[in-house]
Amino acid sequence: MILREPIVGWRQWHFMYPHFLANLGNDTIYVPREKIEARCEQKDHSEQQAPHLTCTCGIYAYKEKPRLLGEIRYTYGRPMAPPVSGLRLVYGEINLWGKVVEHDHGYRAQFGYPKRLWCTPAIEPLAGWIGYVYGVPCEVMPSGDGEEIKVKSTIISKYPCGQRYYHVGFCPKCFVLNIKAKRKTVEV
Amino acid sequence: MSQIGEPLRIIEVKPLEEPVPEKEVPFEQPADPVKEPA
Repeated sequence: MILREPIVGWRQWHFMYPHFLANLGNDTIYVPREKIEARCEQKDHSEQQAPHLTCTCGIYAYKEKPRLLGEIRYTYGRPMAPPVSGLRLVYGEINLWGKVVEHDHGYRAQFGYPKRLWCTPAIEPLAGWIGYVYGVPCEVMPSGDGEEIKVKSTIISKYPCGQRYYHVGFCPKCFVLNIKAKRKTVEV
Repeated sequence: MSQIGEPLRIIEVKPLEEPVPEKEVPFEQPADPVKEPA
């Protein structure tokens, strides 16, 4: 099956100020105005073009926006969720092409580039900049999406050393045990 | 992005033109509104 138009999927990024979109682990950079190409780290797959049907390699995207928003909510809505302060969350449509593995709910592609982006209100002043850097539209997310992904996270008050942690336990820096968790809802 | 389900099939997508904008020289960037956690 050969298609002549890119497949459009949905995914999320972290905007690494001032120039780069990255996946949320910050281990894959999406260079502005350059397509990203999938690589496979499996030794026995190195001869073949990524993504492979039975592997986990490729540029990931969901087929539908609600599933992406659900993942964002799942990732940042749990008690042990990763920190949201400092997160510059961006999500949107991504064009996928080359070799594409279709899954039940998403895709793994050989090539990808953002098509249209939305950012959270926390980084509204950066929306125009992100759009310019990547050469695609970037707007503040609609309020309906905000309701979908409303993030709740537990922030522990600062330790005496000034470090801030998101769990109850010993501070790895000053070794003070924090047992008085001050809960606070944070939205990204 | 690990919740995409089981693989179904491979599709070859060969667009007539790759959807990547041309490079330009960036102008002055805005200040970062987000403060990194301490």
